[in-house]
This record gives sequence, C-alpha cells and structure tokens, in this order.
Amino acid sequence: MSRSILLIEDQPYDAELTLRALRELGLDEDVMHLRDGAEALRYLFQDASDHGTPPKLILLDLKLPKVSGLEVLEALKSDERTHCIPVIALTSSQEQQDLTRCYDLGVNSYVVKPVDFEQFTETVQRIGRYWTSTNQTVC
Amino acid sequence: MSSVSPSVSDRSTTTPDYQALYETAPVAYFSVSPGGYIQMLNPYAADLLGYKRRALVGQSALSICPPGPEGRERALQVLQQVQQGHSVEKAEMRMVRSSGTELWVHLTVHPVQNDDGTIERFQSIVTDITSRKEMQAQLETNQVALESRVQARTAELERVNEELRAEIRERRAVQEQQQRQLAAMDAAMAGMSIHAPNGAFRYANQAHATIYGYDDPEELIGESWRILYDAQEQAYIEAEVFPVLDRGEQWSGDLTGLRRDGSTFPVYLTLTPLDDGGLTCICEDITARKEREQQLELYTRRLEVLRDIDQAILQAQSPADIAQAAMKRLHHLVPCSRSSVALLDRNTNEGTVLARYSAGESMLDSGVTVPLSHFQFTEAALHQQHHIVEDIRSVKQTPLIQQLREEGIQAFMTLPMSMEDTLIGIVNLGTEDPGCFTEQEQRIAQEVTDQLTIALRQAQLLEQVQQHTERLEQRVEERTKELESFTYSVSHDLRTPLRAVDGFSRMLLNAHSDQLDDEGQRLLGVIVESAQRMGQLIDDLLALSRLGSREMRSGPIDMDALVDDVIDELDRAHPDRNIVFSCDPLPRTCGDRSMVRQALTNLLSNAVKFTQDEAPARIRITSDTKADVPTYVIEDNGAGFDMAYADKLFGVFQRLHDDDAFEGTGVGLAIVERVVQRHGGHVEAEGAVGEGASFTFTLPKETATPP
Repeated sequence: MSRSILLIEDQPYDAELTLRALRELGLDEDVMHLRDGAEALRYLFQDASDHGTPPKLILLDLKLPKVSGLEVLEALKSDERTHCIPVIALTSSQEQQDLTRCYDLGVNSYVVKPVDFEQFTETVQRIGRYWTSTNQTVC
Repeated sequence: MSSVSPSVSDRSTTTPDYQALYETAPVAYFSVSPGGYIQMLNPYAADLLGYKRRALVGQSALSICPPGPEGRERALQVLQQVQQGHSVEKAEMRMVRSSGTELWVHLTVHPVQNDDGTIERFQSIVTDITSRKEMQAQLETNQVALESRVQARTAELERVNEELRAEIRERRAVQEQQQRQLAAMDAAMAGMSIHAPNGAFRYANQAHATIYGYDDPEELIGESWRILYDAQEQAYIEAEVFPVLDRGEQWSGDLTGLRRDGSTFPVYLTLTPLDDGGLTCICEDITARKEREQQLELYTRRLEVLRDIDQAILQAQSPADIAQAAMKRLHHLVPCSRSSVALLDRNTNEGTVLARYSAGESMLDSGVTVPLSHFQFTEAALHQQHHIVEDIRSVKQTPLIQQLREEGIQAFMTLPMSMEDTLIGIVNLGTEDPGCFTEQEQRIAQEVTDQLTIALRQAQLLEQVQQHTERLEQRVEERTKELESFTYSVSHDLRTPLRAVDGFSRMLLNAHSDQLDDEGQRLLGVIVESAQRMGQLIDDLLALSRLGSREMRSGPIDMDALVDDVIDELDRAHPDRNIVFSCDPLPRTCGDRSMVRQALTNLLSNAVKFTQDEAPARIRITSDTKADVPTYVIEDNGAGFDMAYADKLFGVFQRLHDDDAFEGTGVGLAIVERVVQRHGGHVEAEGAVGEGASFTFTLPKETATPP
C-alpha cells in the first residue's frame, strides 16, 4: 500500500502527537510511521518496489537510533530516485551545526518542534497543509 | 710591541682596540665638537682635571681654561685655528682643575673631517707639562740669582771675608736645595734620567736603575742608553723616535726594555729633547698596566660570553642551542680543544649529551644517551666542585675516556652544573696539552657553567610551561566538546519528554475534561504550566551556554536603529500595555549584532515586565556622553529592587521577585552580563524598591578592534 507521508520518528509520544495533529486534517491515513533510520532506508530503497509510488513528503527526526536522520537525509538527497522528495527536518535541536548540515545536504525545510502542545499541533498541521496541498512536487 | 702615536685623529673610534686604548691610555684625550664643546674624554683626562667624566661632557672647552692670555684667550686662538681646518701641535697654555689649581699643558688638536670636508669633531691631546715648566722656571730663577751674585762678588771683591762667608752659606743652601731635589727625584716612582747629546747617562734616579734591574744609578752614569734595549728595539728607537726628538718634539710611547739580567718588560717612556742636544727621559714599568689591560680584555670577553648566553635565553632558544652557543664562546676564553655539556638524570642513572663542541670543527652531533658510570665525573662534581684530571691515563678507562684519548685529549676539567643543590649536569673541557688549567681559567669556566646552568634551567622551565599550556589548551578543547555535546543532549532529550507531558496533559484537559472535577482540572493545569516553564528555562539556559562558545561576528552597530527595532517588537507583544518609551540619540558601537540585540531585548523586556503595575510605564534609553566608551542607560519607573541584592542580580537563576508577582526564569540578566563581558564591557544596576531600576552597560567604540 502506498502512503504519501513518511514520518520517521523514534519517540512514540512525539509520533503520537504528530499523528494526532495530522488526524485533524484527515491526513493520518496517509502516514507511514517508521521508528529508526535503518528502517527508513530499507523502506525507501530495498523495499521500494513493494509499495509502489514513493512518498510525497518525509517528516524526519534527526536523532534516530541506528542510522541518524542526517545520514538518512544524505542518502535520500544523493540518490536520483529520491532526491526530489521534499524532506522536512522535524526536530528538537536548535543547534546551528544541525541546521547548517541539513541545508548543506539539501533539506527542504527545517522545523524545531515547539514544546507547547498547541504550538506543536499548529506547526505540524501547517506543514501538513502546505506540503501536501499548496506545494507542487516532481514525483 | 706597540707605540702610542699622538696622532690618533685619523683612526676610527669604533675599533675596539682603540676604544680600550682611549679608555686606559695615560694621556688625556678629549673629543670636542666643531663648536668647541667637549663631547667625550677619557678617564685620564678626567683625572687630570679632577672632574667626573660626565661633568665635563657638554661643557665648553674654554671652561677648563683659566681667564687670561695663557688660558682662555690662547684656547680661543687654538679653536679658531682648528675650526679653519688646521692642526695645532703642542700649544703651550694653562688649564684649570675643578679644585681651582692651574696646570701648564701642551695642547695638540687635530680636526677630524666628514666625507664632505666639514669638520666632524676635534681630537685633542693634553699633556701636563707643569712640572717641566716649574723646573724651567726654577732654573731660570737660579741662573738670575747666580748672575747677580757673580756681579755682586765682582763689584765687592774687597769685602772678601764677610761676603765670602755669606756666599759660601748661600751656595751651600743652593746645593742643599739641589740635593733635596735630586733626592726627591730619586725617590720618585717614575724613572728619570738625563742624557748627554751622545746618549750617555748624565743622571739617573734610583727608580730608573731599579726598573732596568740595576742596583745603583751610578752604574748607568756614562753608559749609553743602548744598554737598556735589545738590538731590535734600538733599531726601532733610531728609526721612529729620534726623528721626532730631532724636530725638537717630545716623544712618548711604549717600548720593550731590557733588564740587566736579560729579561724584557714593557716600559712607557716620555723623552724630551734638551736645547744642548741631550734629552730627559721619564720611564715607567708598565708590566702591571699591561697585565691590567689584558685582564680588562679578558673581562670584556667574559662579559660578552655571558651576554651571548643571556641573549640565547631571551631568544628562547632550545637548551641544545644555548649549550652549543655557550661552549663555542667558552673556547675563546679557556684553552681547550673539545667541550661537552651533558644533562644527568638521576632517576634513570643516565646522562644525555646536550651539546658538543670541538675547536676548529663544526658542531658535532649530540643527543647521545649513555650510562652515568661512563661519565668521568667524580664525587667532586657531586659536591659541586670542579675537578681536573691532569693526565687522562690516570683515570678509569671507560668507553668515553677511550674515545677522548683517541681524539688526542690529554687532560680535562669537569665542572658541575648545580641548581638548588642538585647536580643537573656537567660540563667537560678537554685539552690536548697535558697540564692543568690556570686558576683564572677554572674560575671563568665555572662562571660560564653557572650562567649556562641558569640558562638551561630557564629553557627547561619554558619548555615545561609550553607543554603545560598545550595540555591545558587540549583540556579546554576537550571540555568545550563535552559541554557542546551536553548542550546538544539537553536541547534534544529534555524537550522531548516535556512535549509529551504538555501535550498529553492538554489532550486530557481537552478531550476528557468532563471526567475530571475542578480540582482535577486545576492539578492538570499546574502540570501544563510547569512543563511550559521548564521548556522556557531550557531555552534560556541553552541561549546562555551558546553565548560562551559562539564565535563573535563583529561589525558596526547603529544602536538607535537596533533599540527602535526592539521597542517595536515589545510594543507588538504587549498591545494592552500603556508604555511610554523615550529614546535619546545613542552612540554607535561595534559588536556582534545578534548578541547585542539579545541583551537589549532582555533589558527592555525586563523593564516592560517590572513596570506592569504602572500606567503609564515609563522606560528611558539614554547614553552617558561624558564616558570614554559608548555607555547606555535603560531606566524604568517599575518595581525596582533592593540594592542590598544588587550583586545577585546577574547570577543565573537569581530572582529578586517571587513568581506570582513577576514571572521569569532568572537567566535573562545573566545573558546580558555575558554578552556585555564578551564585548569587553561591563554592566551594573541601580535601583530602590518601588522606585524603578536603571541598568548601565558599556560597549566598545565603533572604531575599536573587537576583543
């Protein structure tokens, strides 16, 4: 089954909050949730043929077990099959080095997760709306 | 053999041998400016006139001449003559000492010219001829007296008896006086003699005889001067000295005298021609003076070596470089063909050769480490005394000793390098000449060794300090990395659970509030609020910690614009508040714009926060125009604070108000202080409870280079 949004997030509660915010937009059915970087790479490259069209949007946490979000981003952006997929870094890190590295690797957007629930919900919903309906993608 | 030529003006004063001569010559030298002011004089000249050398430098040359035709007037004539480029030889004139006594001198002046022909200075030589003048005067007086007596005798021949007795008395008195004079000359330290035109001794005093190894001056009378000099010296005198005397001039200089026993010695002579073709001679055994001169030269060299070593320390050269330099110089002072410096390590019982030097060869390799037992240092070195091995065959034949023998070393001296009662190394000097080093050489060698020890110790300390600094820097780097990774974890890991606490509490409040009573809802509200507070706290702390490690990007800052910007933002954030901001023109500064903006935001939002109970709230931003550096003041009419706690204001988590009154994390002012300090400025606060607060901070001048 093909899902249009890929959420790569190891923290179950953050994932739940994200999914809950997207549910209010009716997008939750389109979300594929993966829990670490290795799983994400397998899903995107090895098993790509199993689930038809690639995702239209990837929400990527940076601090992930096994393979980090930065490594996933690098792999995505350096492979011609996936380099057009919009990748949104959705992270708790405000560190300059993470920001710089992400943009160097070609991230499409960098969003710091607010701690406040309402702000968080609003942020995730804004991302969902913009990237799934306003923004035009190649794939 | 050397002779002192009175004509020294054409010699360069920069050559050291001349300088030494200038300093030590028993002749008074003056260097006089074209305008007639004394520029330099040698010690002899200062002594002659009874002044300290410094006292005469810069004085007019006329000032050392008494008034009158024989003094200042004569000096003025000489000056005018030499100013026209002419030399003046032996102008006879008077000078005056600091004590006021006068002396007769011969003044010889040579102008020294610049390349362009203008006069650079005058070289003047002053010879004291007072005693000669006095003797001359006395002789004249005697002659006049005798003549008058002869006339009297002729005229009053008849008054024989009385007159004759008187005459006899008078002549006896004259004789006695002359005898006294001769006795005085005999007793004088300087040798004095008078020679007939054929060079034979007419008179010699005791000192003259003694100087040349004769018991009695009588032995010399009638003999030729030649018996006091060997053939070579006689030839020199005939060729170089006689022509001067033949011109009627005085000659003085060093010669080599021949004693009766055949030994030779240096002697300083002053020869003055007499009108009858004879001459007077004043001589002085200058053996001691020559030795002093040699000592002086040696002393100068020692100073040079010590200075070189000091220089090496100052240039922070490596211990090996310093040791090499010291050994190279030592070879000039102490006759040795080979020297080495070894550092001892009493822990490993090994010695490491730090430097080796071999005369006539380039520097040898060093850095060899050998067991301590191979070194030929004895208990003496351990007890910090130097030790001399006069015959290398007499000591234990270690591999090192054998190597020395192969190099032709016959004798050597070992000197201890002691620091704070610890032997840290040894200096070895080897010589191919069997025999021992003189006491003076031993002293010099130890002196150089001591200086070297200090230098090496300094170099070692310097190395240690550098190593220590490197270690510290490494540790700082490690700690910075630790801190950065800690910051990273905090920023990421602490926020995630907080978000869950906040999010899930809200979800509970929103979706399940009907299942909670009022108290349950209040409790959940506390959880939500606390989570948000903690989130803010983490953000503030991270901002503070990032300030410390962040690189500053300095540039000019328009403070007026920046303050307006921040005020706009605060106005928008508090639309319900009645705040009157007033802003004076502010000086521009130089710094990291975003950091300074952060500090301004914190200070102004503090002012906004603590004036929340005022209507209108008044916040003034001014500058101290009298200060040296840009100084800004932010005043408000808010709650203020107790000055007793002023020092706590800028501490992290320090709050002077309870949370119910004014909320905050207690980090804002700490950030302000950190920003200002990183810009090399300072911040201070003033206030009183209920009467507002004022914060003053400084930033660098716009033109200043940022710290």
